[in-house]
Amino acid sequence: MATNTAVYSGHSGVAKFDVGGSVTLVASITAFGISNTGDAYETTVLGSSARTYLPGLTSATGTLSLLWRDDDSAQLALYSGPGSAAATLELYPSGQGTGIKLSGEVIVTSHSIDTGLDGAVTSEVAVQFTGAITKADL
Amino acid sequence: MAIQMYDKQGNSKIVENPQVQDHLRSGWKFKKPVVTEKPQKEIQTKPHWRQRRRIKILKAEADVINNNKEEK
Repeated sequence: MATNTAVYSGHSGVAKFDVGGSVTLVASITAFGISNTGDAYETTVLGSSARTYLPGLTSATGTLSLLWRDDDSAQLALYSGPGSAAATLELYPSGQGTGIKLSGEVIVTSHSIDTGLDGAVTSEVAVQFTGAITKADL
Repeated sequence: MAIQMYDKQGNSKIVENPQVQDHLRSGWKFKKPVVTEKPQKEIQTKPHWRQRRRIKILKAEADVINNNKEEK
């Protein structure tokens, strides 16, 4: 399939996580996000009129919002993520049929389960990518 | 953190987070497997009589030729 040429619709988004070496669909996901950052090293010297910078190291983090499921292996693998070795995360912002796939190795830095009076039990996951993120066209 | 995991026989243990992925690779699951027991043999309710073996005796009849008769 070719890369989407129109605006993406987020409702088709899919996330997959490593379950014992097999990248598995994460059930009941409501949102995910990915943030790429790059350091900027200042090179400004006295006499300059404007600050100058050099590009530095890049890093990326991600978040996943879920409706908590204890019958889903990928969610349980995410639950057991903090403190574990890096595992594969695949994100499909516009679904698996069109658009792009973002993938990389992540360390799960936090996992929470949240319950309230007026809503479903939810879960929030934060990840730190280790190494580069790979973007591939579907 | 730790999580309960199950092997194929339904045995469970608590696994620390760093060991979870290794256990998954070894076939351990998060979900308790449904262990199906073999159905027991049907219990016999009626007495089962052993059939008598019938032996068919065949009577063999044949003429006996006396070879010892003196030839005249």
